[in-house]
Amino acid sequence: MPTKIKVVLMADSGSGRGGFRGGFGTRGRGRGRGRGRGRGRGRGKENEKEWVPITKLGRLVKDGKIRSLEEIYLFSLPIKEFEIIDFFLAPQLKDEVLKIMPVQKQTRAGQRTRFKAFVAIGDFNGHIGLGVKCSKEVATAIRGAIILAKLSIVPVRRGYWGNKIGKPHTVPCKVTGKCGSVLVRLIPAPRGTSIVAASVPKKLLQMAGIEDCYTSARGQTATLGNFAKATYAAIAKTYAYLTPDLWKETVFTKSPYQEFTDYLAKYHKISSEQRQETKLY
Amino acid sequence: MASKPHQVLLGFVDEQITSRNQQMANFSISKIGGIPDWCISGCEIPICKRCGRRQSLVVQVYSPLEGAVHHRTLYVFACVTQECWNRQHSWTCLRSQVLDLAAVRTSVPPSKCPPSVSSYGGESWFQDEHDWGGNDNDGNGNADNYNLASSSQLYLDNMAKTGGGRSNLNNMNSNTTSITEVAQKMESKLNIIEDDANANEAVCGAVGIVGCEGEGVEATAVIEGPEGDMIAVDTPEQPTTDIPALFQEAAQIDANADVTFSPFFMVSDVEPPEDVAFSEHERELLLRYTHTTGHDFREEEIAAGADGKGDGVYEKDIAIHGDVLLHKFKKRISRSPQQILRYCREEGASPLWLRPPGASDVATKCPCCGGSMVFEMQITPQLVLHLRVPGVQGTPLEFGSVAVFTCSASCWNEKDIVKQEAIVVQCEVI
Repeated sequence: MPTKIKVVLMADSGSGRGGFRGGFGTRGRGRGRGRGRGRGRGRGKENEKEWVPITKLGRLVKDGKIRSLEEIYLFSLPIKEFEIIDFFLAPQLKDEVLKIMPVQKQTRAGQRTRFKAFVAIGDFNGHIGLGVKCSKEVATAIRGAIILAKLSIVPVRRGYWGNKIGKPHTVPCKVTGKCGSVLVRLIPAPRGTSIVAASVPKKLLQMAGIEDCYTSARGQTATLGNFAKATYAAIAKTYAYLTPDLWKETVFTKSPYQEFTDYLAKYHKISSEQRQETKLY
Repeated sequence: MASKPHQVLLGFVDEQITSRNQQMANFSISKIGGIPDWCISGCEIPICKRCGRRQSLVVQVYSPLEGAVHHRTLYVFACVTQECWNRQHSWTCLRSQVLDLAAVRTSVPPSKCPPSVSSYGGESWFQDEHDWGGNDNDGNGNADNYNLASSSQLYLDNMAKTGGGRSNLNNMNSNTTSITEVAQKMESKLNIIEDDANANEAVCGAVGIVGCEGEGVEATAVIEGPEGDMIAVDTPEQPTTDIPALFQEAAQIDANADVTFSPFFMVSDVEPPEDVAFSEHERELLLRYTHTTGHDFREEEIAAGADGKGDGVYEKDIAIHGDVLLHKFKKRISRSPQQILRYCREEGASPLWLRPPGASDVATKCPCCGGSMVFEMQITPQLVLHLRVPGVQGTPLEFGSVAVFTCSASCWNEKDIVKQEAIVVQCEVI
């Protein structure tokens, strides 16, 4: 029986997408004038999953009005759709599963096992993200963790150790991240040192695009979650480092003359009249 | 959000309505934009209370109720003035009903055709077996009519086709079976319906939120004292686009001019269940993980979360942007990203909220009959892209989500022309 139903559903495509044109509701469907081998626009399996933005920022990005991800970061706008990240960084982004582990929860009916997935994502050139998701199925855990990782992508600031030759290759300052009992300290290193760290922070630093770095870790580093989060927090903090060249704020507001031109015009006129009066004397 | 067993119908944008297929548009189809096809003549397009401009039709939804004898259409209007966007007063929903004569003739009392799935006539499926979506001159005469039973469908056909000469008005059995009911039954048989998403699920994002019950731990970071002369940095690029100004942009429309959006037909379809299968990429990631680390996580012992702070505990997943409702909204929408309308009039259904609903938001009593109001449908933000004014660049109307609540009894006197229903507009959280 189910097979037959399925066949009918697909064959009776009143419109290109196989739906019912006309009405809604249990009685409405199938009624109404819906007649159409609707050719529609861009129907087809691959278009069904195409990104349709639901936020204003998403719409601006899809339209191409925003040039780069950095501009969004500068205005501190929250990025709520992971497709925005994909739009700018997709070809360079690489993700990796750090760990999948089963976790248990005690419920009235016994124990319930879920899978927890840790995913790190980065473009090896200045962006890093970390996502953790717990779910009943491994596939949904990985999928959810990838999405959360993309949403958590932050820019990484890099610096030079010593001479300013070539491209920046190390962290710009000593920075420490802490999560739970785990403390991770990142220290700038000269070119050629490569990353001196345990496997988890090493992976994250590589994905962030940092080539050389000394690290120091303390605490219960066996808890991978806290270790990864502490490293991520430390890397994310690099952009908080304020150097003299950043002291001047970028201002997009109007100059006072532009804003208050009406006011100035009115009062400026009065004072010039007064001056003229005094001149006569 | 709509609870699990509810079946949600989604609306999608279909063909553009042009002069060629214009004649197919009447009050019994669903569409977006254009001018409203009224059930009863004499209806007026509402005026915006704030700016006095005539509102524009956003969607027209044909949604007759189960067991009722009326054609029933909902019309949603909005004001395109930028100052009126996202305000409750600038959106109006009108409901209009007209007696469906054929339905009155062949209708059975509601008790005999319950929406439950137990009784559907087996033979009606066989009747449809040969209907492969052919054209009108099909044997049973019910081509495009996926709902087999009612002869009122054919009555409508007759109405539209002048002198159509359709003589084969079959007396279908009035056990109205619709695809939706069968799909429901199929779903329950195959156990596709997922569990309540909230039960027992707690996950953690990259940065846990302090004080959340899921025991995620927050990570912090500190920059240590000034470095010596060794470290140098590059100045980061300065942006060239003024993004907040872009947010304020809107289409340039003459003030007080009447605005009509480009009309398109709308099709409906059932919401698909959540996809739990592996995608290619995920499978690859998983394989790479198991090969490089040699862990077989299924066999692994459950990590000890003795002090409640280790890895082996549930952590609530909250994305770094902190907007839980939008994250859930997006997750639900992602089952079918092209949707523009969500329809679910069942008991206990509620819309996918973008913001926590206020006490005044959830409408309680129908102003006409005093009965309770029920959630009927919700317009999703994807529709913003499809609303365009011919000849004008840019976005004429923006909104987050628009939820329509209607009278549960769908009260109607024969003298009425239209009735107003309640709308709750939510704009997105920036």
